[in-house]
Amino acid sequence: MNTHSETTPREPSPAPTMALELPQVVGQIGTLPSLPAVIMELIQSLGDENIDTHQLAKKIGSDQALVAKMLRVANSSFYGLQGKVTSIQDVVVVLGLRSVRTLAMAAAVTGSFSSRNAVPGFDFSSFWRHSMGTALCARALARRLKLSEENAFTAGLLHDIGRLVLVACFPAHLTAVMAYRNTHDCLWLDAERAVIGIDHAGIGEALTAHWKFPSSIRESVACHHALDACEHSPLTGVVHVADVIAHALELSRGAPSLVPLLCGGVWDSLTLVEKDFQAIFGEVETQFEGACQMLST
Amino acid sequence: MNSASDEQKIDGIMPDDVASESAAREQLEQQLKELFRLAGDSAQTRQLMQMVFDYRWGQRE
Repeated sequence: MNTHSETTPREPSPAPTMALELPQVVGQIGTLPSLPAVIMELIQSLGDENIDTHQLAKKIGSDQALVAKMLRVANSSFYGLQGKVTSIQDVVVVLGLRSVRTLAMAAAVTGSFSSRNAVPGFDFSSFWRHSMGTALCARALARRLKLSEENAFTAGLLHDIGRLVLVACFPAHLTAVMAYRNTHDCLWLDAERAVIGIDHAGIGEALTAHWKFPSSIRESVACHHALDACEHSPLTGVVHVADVIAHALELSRGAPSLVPLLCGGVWDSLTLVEKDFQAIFGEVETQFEGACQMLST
Repeated sequence: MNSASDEQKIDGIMPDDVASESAAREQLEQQLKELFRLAGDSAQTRQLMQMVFDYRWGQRE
Protein backbone atom coordinates (compact mmCIF):
# COMPACT_ATOMS: atom_id res chain seq x y z
CA MET A 1 0.00 0.00 0.00
CA ASN A 2 1.58 3.24 -1.06
CA THR A 3 0.46 5.87 1.39
CA HIS A 4 2.76 8.59 0.25
CA SER A 5 1.47 9.13 -3.26
CA GLU A 6 0.15 12.51 -4.15
CA THR A 7 -3.47 13.10 -4.94
CA THR A 8 -3.31 16.86 -4.78
CA PRO A 9 -1.50 18.47 -7.70
CA ARG A 10 1.08 20.89 -6.36
CA GLU A 11 4.50 22.34 -7.03
CA PRO A 12 7.53 20.33 -5.91
CA SER A 13 7.94 21.31 -2.27
CA PRO A 14 11.02 21.78 -0.12
CA ALA A 15 12.10 19.08 2.31
CA PRO A 16 9.84 18.70 5.36
CA THR A 17 10.91 21.03 8.16
CA MET A 18 10.20 18.53 10.97
CA ALA A 19 10.45 15.23 9.13
CA LEU A 20 9.11 12.15 10.88
CA GLU A 21 10.18 8.69 9.77
CA LEU A 22 7.69 5.84 9.88
CA PRO A 23 9.87 3.65 12.17
CA GLN A 24 9.93 6.54 14.65
CA VAL A 25 6.12 6.66 14.51
CA VAL A 26 5.80 2.91 14.87
CA GLY A 27 8.12 3.02 17.90
CA GLN A 28 5.94 5.62 19.61
CA ILE A 29 2.74 3.74 18.77
CA GLY A 30 4.22 0.84 20.73
CA THR A 31 4.27 3.03 23.84
CA LEU A 32 0.54 3.88 23.67
CA PRO A 33 -1.78 2.10 26.11
CA SER A 34 -3.04 -1.21 24.69
CA LEU A 35 -6.68 -1.78 23.86
CA PRO A 36 -8.44 -4.19 26.26
CA ALA A 37 -7.81 -7.84 25.41
CA VAL A 38 -11.47 -8.44 24.63
CA ILE A 39 -11.43 -5.61 22.09
CA MET A 40 -8.35 -7.07 20.42
CA GLU A 41 -10.25 -10.34 20.11
CA LEU A 42 -13.26 -8.57 18.64
CA ILE A 43 -11.07 -6.76 16.12
CA GLN A 44 -9.56 -10.01 14.95
CA SER A 45 -13.04 -11.53 14.64
CA LEU A 46 -14.33 -8.81 12.28
CA GLY A 47 -16.13 -10.48 9.41
CA ASP A 48 -16.56 -13.73 11.33
CA GLU A 49 -20.28 -14.33 11.82
CA ASN A 50 -19.83 -17.56 13.75
CA ILE A 51 -18.78 -16.16 17.12
CA ASP A 52 -20.55 -17.66 20.11
CA THR A 53 -22.60 -14.72 21.39
CA HIS A 54 -22.72 -16.10 24.94
CA GLN A 55 -18.93 -16.26 24.99
CA LEU A 56 -18.83 -12.74 23.55
CA ALA A 57 -21.11 -11.39 26.28
CA LYS A 58 -19.06 -13.18 28.93
CA LYS A 59 -15.81 -11.71 27.64
CA ILE A 60 -17.19 -8.18 27.40
CA GLY A 61 -18.73 -8.64 30.84
CA SER A 62 -15.27 -9.13 32.33
CA ASP A 63 -14.40 -5.49 31.54
CA GLN A 64 -16.67 -3.44 33.80
CA ALA A 65 -15.62 -0.06 32.40
CA LEU A 66 -16.46 -1.27 28.90
CA VAL A 67 -19.79 -2.73 30.06
CA ALA A 68 -20.77 0.56 31.68
CA LYS A 69 -19.92 2.51 28.54
CA MET A 70 -21.74 0.08 26.26
CA LEU A 71 -24.87 0.19 28.41
CA ARG A 72 -24.87 3.99 28.30
CA VAL A 73 -24.53 3.94 24.52
CA ALA A 74 -27.08 1.14 24.01
CA ASN A 75 -29.55 3.17 26.07
CA SER A 76 -28.84 6.38 24.15
CA SER A 77 -31.21 7.74 21.54
CA PHE A 78 -29.04 6.31 18.73
CA TYR A 79 -30.35 2.81 19.32
CA GLY A 80 -33.78 3.91 20.51
CA LEU A 81 -33.67 1.63 23.55
CA GLN A 82 -33.66 4.27 26.26
CA GLY A 83 -33.51 2.62 29.66
CA LYS A 84 -34.54 -0.80 28.37
CA VAL A 85 -31.13 -2.47 28.39
CA THR A 86 -29.63 -3.36 31.75
CA SER A 87 -27.03 -6.08 31.10
CA ILE A 88 -24.48 -6.90 28.46
CA GLN A 89 -26.47 -10.06 27.65
CA ASP A 90 -29.44 -7.80 26.83
CA VAL A 91 -27.22 -5.68 24.58
CA VAL A 92 -26.09 -8.75 22.64
CA VAL A 93 -29.64 -10.11 22.28
CA VAL A 94 -31.27 -6.81 21.35
CA LEU A 95 -28.61 -5.33 19.08
CA GLY A 96 -27.14 -8.49 17.55
CA LEU A 97 -23.56 -9.62 17.12
CA ARG A 98 -22.42 -7.14 14.51
CA SER A 99 -23.78 -4.08 16.30
CA VAL A 100 -22.28 -5.20 19.60
CA ARG A 101 -18.90 -5.75 18.02
CA THR A 102 -19.01 -2.32 16.35
CA LEU A 103 -20.26 -0.68 19.53
CA ALA A 104 -17.58 -2.27 21.71
CA MET A 105 -14.81 -1.28 19.32
CA ALA A 106 -16.11 2.25 18.97
CA ALA A 107 -16.38 2.58 22.74
CA ALA A 108 -12.83 1.31 23.27
CA VAL A 109 -11.18 3.21 20.43
CA THR A 110 -12.80 6.55 21.20
CA GLY A 111 -11.79 6.14 24.83
CA SER A 112 -8.21 5.19 24.07
CA PHE A 113 -7.04 8.73 23.30
CA SER A 114 -7.60 11.10 26.16
CA SER A 115 -8.49 14.70 25.49
CA ARG A 116 -6.33 15.45 28.55
CA ASN A 117 -3.39 15.18 26.13
CA ALA A 118 -4.84 18.08 24.18
CA VAL A 119 -2.64 20.11 21.86
CA PRO A 120 -3.72 23.78 21.77
CA GLY A 121 -5.69 24.36 18.58
CA PHE A 122 -6.60 20.69 18.08
CA ASP A 123 -10.33 20.15 18.65
CA PHE A 124 -11.02 16.59 19.86
CA SER A 125 -14.76 17.07 19.65
CA SER A 126 -14.64 18.18 16.00
CA PHE A 127 -12.28 15.32 15.21
CA TRP A 128 -14.63 12.65 16.56
CA ARG A 129 -17.74 14.31 15.12
CA HIS A 130 -16.18 14.23 11.66
CA SER A 131 -15.09 10.61 12.20
CA MET A 132 -18.58 9.61 13.30
CA GLY A 133 -20.12 11.44 10.33
CA THR A 134 -17.80 9.57 7.99
CA ALA A 135 -18.64 6.26 9.71
CA LEU A 136 -22.39 6.85 9.26
CA CYS A 137 -21.93 7.93 5.61
CA ALA A 138 -19.74 4.90 4.91
CA ARG A 139 -22.32 2.60 6.46
CA ALA A 140 -25.14 4.17 4.43
CA LEU A 141 -23.13 3.86 1.21
CA ALA A 142 -22.14 0.26 2.03
CA ARG A 143 -25.76 -0.72 2.58
CA ARG A 144 -26.70 0.49 -0.89
CA LEU A 145 -23.65 -1.13 -2.46
CA LYS A 146 -24.18 -4.41 -0.62
CA LEU A 147 -20.82 -4.23 1.18
CA SER A 148 -20.18 -4.99 4.85
CA GLU A 149 -21.85 -2.21 6.86
CA GLU A 150 -19.88 -3.20 9.95
CA ASN A 151 -16.52 -2.86 8.20
CA ALA A 152 -17.59 0.38 6.52
CA PHE A 153 -18.64 1.93 9.84
CA THR A 154 -15.42 0.83 11.56
CA ALA A 155 -13.17 2.01 8.72
CA GLY A 156 -15.02 5.33 8.56
CA LEU A 157 -14.65 5.86 12.31
CA LEU A 158 -10.91 5.12 12.13
CA HIS A 159 -10.01 6.80 8.83
CA ASP A 160 -8.26 9.81 10.39
CA ILE A 161 -7.03 8.06 13.57
CA GLY A 162 -3.42 8.81 12.59
CA ARG A 163 -4.01 12.41 13.65
CA LEU A 164 -4.56 11.27 17.22
CA VAL A 165 -1.16 9.58 17.17
CA LEU A 166 0.30 12.99 16.38
CA VAL A 167 -1.67 14.49 19.29
CA ALA A 168 -0.53 11.80 21.73
CA CYS A 169 3.06 11.23 20.60
CA PHE A 170 4.22 14.17 18.50
CA PRO A 171 2.50 17.32 19.80
CA ALA A 172 5.26 19.66 18.59
CA HIS A 173 5.02 18.23 15.08
CA LEU A 174 1.24 18.61 15.12
CA THR A 175 1.57 22.20 16.33
CA ALA A 176 3.91 22.91 13.41
CA VAL A 177 1.44 21.30 10.98
CA MET A 178 -1.38 23.49 12.32
CA ALA A 179 0.80 26.59 12.09
CA TYR A 180 1.65 25.73 8.47
CA ARG A 181 -2.02 25.26 7.68
CA ASN A 182 -2.82 28.62 9.22
CA THR A 183 -0.31 30.38 7.00
CA HIS A 184 -0.88 28.41 3.80
CA ASP A 185 -4.27 27.92 2.21
CA CYS A 186 -4.14 24.12 2.17
CA LEU A 187 -5.71 20.90 3.35
CA TRP A 188 -4.53 19.08 6.49
CA LEU A 189 -3.05 16.37 4.30
CA ASP A 190 -0.87 18.78 2.36
CA ALA A 191 0.26 20.55 5.54
CA GLU A 192 1.29 17.21 7.07
CA ARG A 193 3.23 16.19 3.99
CA ALA A 194 4.96 19.56 3.82
CA VAL A 195 5.94 19.72 7.50
CA ILE A 196 6.49 16.14 8.65
CA GLY A 197 6.88 14.34 5.32
CA ILE A 198 4.24 11.70 6.06
CA ASP A 199 0.50 12.04 6.54
CA HIS A 200 -2.19 10.90 8.94
CA ALA A 201 -3.21 8.11 6.54
CA GLY A 202 0.21 6.47 6.72
CA ILE A 203 0.35 6.94 10.49
CA GLY A 204 -3.18 5.55 10.82
CA GLU A 205 -2.16 2.49 8.86
CA ALA A 206 0.67 1.89 11.34
CA LEU A 207 -1.74 2.19 14.29
CA THR A 208 -4.40 -0.08 12.80
CA ALA A 209 -1.68 -2.63 11.99
CA HIS A 210 -0.51 -2.41 15.62
CA TRP A 211 -4.10 -3.01 16.74
CA LYS A 212 -4.29 -5.95 14.28
CA PHE A 213 -7.30 -4.74 12.31
CA PRO A 214 -8.09 -6.78 9.18
CA SER A 215 -6.18 -5.77 6.06
CA SER A 216 -9.32 -4.34 4.39
CA ILE A 217 -9.73 -1.77 7.17
CA ARG A 218 -6.00 -0.99 7.29
CA GLU A 219 -6.09 -0.37 3.54
CA SER A 220 -9.07 1.98 3.87
CA VAL A 221 -7.27 4.01 6.53
CA ALA A 222 -4.01 4.02 4.54
CA CYS A 223 -5.41 4.87 1.11
CA HIS A 224 -8.48 7.03 1.70
CA HIS A 225 -6.66 10.01 0.18
CA ALA A 226 -4.56 8.10 -2.37
CA LEU A 227 -6.99 6.16 -4.51
CA ASP A 228 -5.39 7.02 -7.82
CA ALA A 229 -2.07 5.76 -6.56
CA CYS A 230 -2.87 2.31 -5.22
CA GLU A 231 -4.97 -0.72 -6.00
CA HIS A 232 -7.88 -0.47 -3.63
CA SER A 233 -10.96 -2.33 -2.53
CA PRO A 234 -14.55 -1.06 -2.88
CA LEU A 235 -14.49 -0.45 0.91
CA THR A 236 -11.65 2.06 0.52
CA GLY A 237 -13.61 3.86 -2.20
CA VAL A 238 -16.61 4.02 0.11
CA VAL A 239 -14.54 5.50 2.95
CA HIS A 240 -13.04 8.08 0.56
CA VAL A 241 -16.44 9.25 -0.65
CA ALA A 242 -17.89 9.13 2.88
CA ASP A 243 -15.05 11.37 4.11
CA VAL A 244 -15.73 13.87 1.32
CA ILE A 245 -19.50 13.88 2.02
CA ALA A 246 -18.97 14.29 5.78
CA HIS A 247 -16.85 17.36 5.07
CA ALA A 248 -19.39 18.66 2.54
CA LEU A 249 -22.20 18.35 5.10
CA GLU A 250 -19.98 20.12 7.69
CA LEU A 251 -20.79 17.55 10.34
CA SER A 252 -17.79 18.37 12.54
CA ARG A 253 -19.27 21.76 13.47
CA GLY A 254 -15.78 22.90 14.36
CA ALA A 255 -13.12 24.80 12.48
CA PRO A 256 -13.83 25.36 8.78
CA SER A 257 -14.23 21.91 7.26
CA LEU A 258 -12.75 22.12 3.77
CA VAL A 259 -13.79 19.40 1.35
CA PRO A 260 -10.78 17.34 0.19
CA LEU A 261 -10.08 16.34 -3.40
CA LEU A 262 -12.69 13.90 -4.71
CA CYS A 263 -11.47 10.99 -6.84
CA GLY A 264 -13.74 11.14 -9.90
CA GLY A 265 -13.17 7.52 -10.85
CA VAL A 266 -14.27 6.30 -7.43
CA TRP A 267 -17.32 8.58 -7.46
CA ASP A 268 -18.37 7.27 -10.87
CA SER A 269 -17.80 3.66 -9.80
CA LEU A 270 -20.40 3.92 -7.04
CA THR A 271 -23.18 3.96 -9.66
CA LEU A 272 -25.54 5.74 -7.28
CA VAL A 273 -27.97 8.38 -8.46
CA GLU A 274 -28.87 11.75 -6.96
CA LYS A 275 -31.89 10.29 -5.19
CA ASP A 276 -29.60 7.86 -3.35
CA PHE A 277 -27.27 10.60 -2.22
CA GLN A 278 -30.13 12.83 -1.06
CA ALA A 279 -31.44 9.88 0.98
CA ILE A 280 -27.96 9.25 2.42
CA PHE A 281 -27.54 12.92 3.42
CA GLY A 282 -30.88 12.83 5.24
CA GLU A 283 -30.23 9.45 6.88
CA VAL A 284 -26.81 10.51 8.15
CA GLU A 285 -28.01 13.82 9.56
CA THR A 286 -30.94 12.13 11.28
CA GLN A 287 -28.68 9.59 13.01
CA PHE A 288 -25.77 11.90 13.64
CA GLU A 289 -26.47 13.59 16.99
CA GLY A 290 -27.60 10.32 18.57
CA ALA A 291 -24.49 8.55 17.30
CA CYS A 292 -22.29 11.30 18.70
CA GLN A 293 -23.55 10.41 22.19
CA MET A 294 -21.31 7.38 21.74
CA LEU A 295 -18.39 9.79 21.85
CA SER A 296 -19.35 11.59 25.03
CA THR A 297 -20.26 8.64 27.24
CA MET B 1 -26.93 27.01 -9.69
CA ASN B 2 -29.15 29.38 -11.60
CA SER B 3 -31.83 30.94 -9.47
CA ALA B 4 -35.40 30.39 -10.58
CA SER B 5 -36.11 33.83 -9.21
CA ASP B 6 -33.93 35.36 -11.93
CA GLU B 7 -36.78 34.69 -14.32
CA GLN B 8 -39.13 36.67 -12.14
CA LYS B 9 -37.23 39.92 -12.39
CA ILE B 10 -39.35 42.58 -14.06
CA ASP B 11 -37.42 45.55 -15.34
CA GLY B 12 -34.80 44.95 -12.63
CA ILE B 13 -37.35 45.22 -9.81
CA MET B 14 -37.97 42.18 -7.63
CA PRO B 15 -40.65 41.71 -4.97
CA ASP B 16 -39.19 41.48 -1.43
CA ASP B 17 -39.74 37.74 -1.02
CA VAL B 18 -38.17 36.99 -4.40
CA ALA B 19 -35.21 39.25 -3.61
CA SER B 20 -34.83 37.60 -0.23
CA GLU B 21 -34.90 34.12 -1.75
CA SER B 22 -32.39 35.14 -4.36
CA ALA B 23 -30.06 36.51 -1.66
CA ALA B 24 -30.42 33.33 0.38
CA ARG B 25 -29.60 31.16 -2.61
CA GLU B 26 -26.58 33.30 -3.38
CA GLN B 27 -25.41 33.10 0.23
CA LEU B 28 -25.72 29.30 0.27
CA GLU B 29 -23.91 29.07 -3.05
CA GLN B 30 -21.06 31.20 -1.71
CA GLN B 31 -20.81 29.08 1.46
CA LEU B 32 -20.50 25.93 -0.61
CA LYS B 33 -17.96 27.46 -2.98
CA GLU B 34 -15.84 28.34 0.05
CA LEU B 35 -16.26 24.86 1.49
CA PHE B 36 -15.28 23.23 -1.82
CA ARG B 37 -12.52 25.65 -2.77
CA LEU B 38 -9.73 23.07 -2.43
CA ALA B 39 -11.77 20.13 -3.69
CA GLY B 40 -10.75 20.46 -7.33
CA ASP B 41 -12.85 21.47 -10.30
CA SER B 42 -14.00 18.16 -11.71
CA ALA B 43 -17.45 17.29 -13.04
CA GLN B 44 -17.89 14.91 -10.09
CA THR B 45 -17.02 17.59 -7.54
CA ARG B 46 -19.44 20.02 -9.15
CA GLN B 47 -22.11 17.31 -9.12
CA LEU B 48 -21.61 16.71 -5.40
CA MET B 49 -21.66 20.43 -4.66
CA GLN B 50 -24.92 20.79 -6.60
CA MET B 51 -26.45 17.88 -4.68
CA VAL B 52 -25.45 19.38 -1.34
CA PHE B 53 -26.90 22.70 -2.50
CA ASP B 54 -30.20 21.04 -3.45
CA TYR B 55 -30.27 19.17 -0.13
CA ARG B 56 -29.63 22.27 1.96
CA TRP B 57 -32.10 24.32 -0.08
CA GLY B 58 -34.69 21.58 0.31
CA GLN B 59 -34.21 21.68 4.10
CA ARG B 60 -34.88 25.42 4.06
CA GLU B 61 -38.18 25.07 2.24
